[in-house]
Amino acid sequence: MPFSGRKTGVMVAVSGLLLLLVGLIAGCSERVLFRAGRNYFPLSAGRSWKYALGNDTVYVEVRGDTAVLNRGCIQVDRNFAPEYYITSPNEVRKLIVTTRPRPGGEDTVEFRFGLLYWLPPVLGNRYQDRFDTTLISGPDTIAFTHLLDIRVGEIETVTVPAGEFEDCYRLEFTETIVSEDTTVINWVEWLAPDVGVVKRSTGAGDELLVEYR
Amino acid sequence: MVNLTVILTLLCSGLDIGGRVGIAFPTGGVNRTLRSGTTIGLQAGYSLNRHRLELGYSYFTFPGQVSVPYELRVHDVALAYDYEFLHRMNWGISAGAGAGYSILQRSFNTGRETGRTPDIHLAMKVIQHEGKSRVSAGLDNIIFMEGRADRPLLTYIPMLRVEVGYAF
Repeated sequence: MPFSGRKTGVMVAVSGLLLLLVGLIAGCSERVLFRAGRNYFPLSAGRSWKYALGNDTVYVEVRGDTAVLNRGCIQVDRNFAPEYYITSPNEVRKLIVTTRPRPGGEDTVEFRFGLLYWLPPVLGNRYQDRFDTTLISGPDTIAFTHLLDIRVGEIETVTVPAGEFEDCYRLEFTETIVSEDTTVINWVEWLAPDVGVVKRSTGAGDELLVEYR
Repeated sequence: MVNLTVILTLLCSGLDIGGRVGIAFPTGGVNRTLRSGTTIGLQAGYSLNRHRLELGYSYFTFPGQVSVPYELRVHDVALAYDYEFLHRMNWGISAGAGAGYSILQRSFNTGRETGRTPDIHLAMKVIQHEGKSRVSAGLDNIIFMEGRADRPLLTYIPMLRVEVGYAF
């Protein structure tokens, strides 16, 4: 007989499984499922984040639900200035308001919810949000394009005053506004699981998460 | 020659091979962005009285919750032990446990992530064995253990599975 008896068979099977299990656990393991199950931009009422930007402090707080453009959205105050977001498990859209000065006032060129995060973040994903319109300036017409190009660059561990955050996605943003002239702005954000933005690098410096709740 | 034939007969007498299909349900946050997925696979088992040792391969695909190009694919190889605690002439009920290793691939638009992780299987099946055929249906609970050994991050994915096999 291959096994001399029931007990021997059970022992061989269980021992084999345990050995395999120990060997596997000791080996390296990625955290793909962990990242797949986390919320990288949690906006629920009462949550707040405090950032250090040089000698300044930036306070971000979720105020609650409201409506803009006949759509339900979430108001988030950033240093007491309101911003509006529409969130779902698959995307985060932010209200973009672009104005343009004209004699005696200003024109609103853009007033829409543009795509900010296409979720879930996956390494190497690249996407764009684009808005095109035509501006009338006296007898002239000017093409206006607002392009936001986002690339999910790396998965990193980020250390900020609030602590060390693993499995952060580094998102690289390039914003291009083409009108009479072309403006290009670059910035980088690090999103931590169940926390949100822990670091933001812009031309003005690094915004670092100090505390959150 | 006779000895070899006897040995081969003894070795093959408890052996069966076959295929499997099933449906798996993501849980624990993973289901925020992924829907239930299908699984197909192969298995080879060796039975001795009420004991059974099985080596199986399963391939899972989980599509995204909405119509976005998001998908999770899992290749899992597992070695499992089952004990048929209720044993009748042509059928029985078994409970088992096993250990496996998975390759995970997550893709979204131009993004790709690949990882490997060990996992544990805890299964309960109803088995029918008649002649050369072996059919089973049951629940297989897969617990993926990501991260470090001292601080594993567990993700639980239950699966309803049907297996058909040919017993030698």
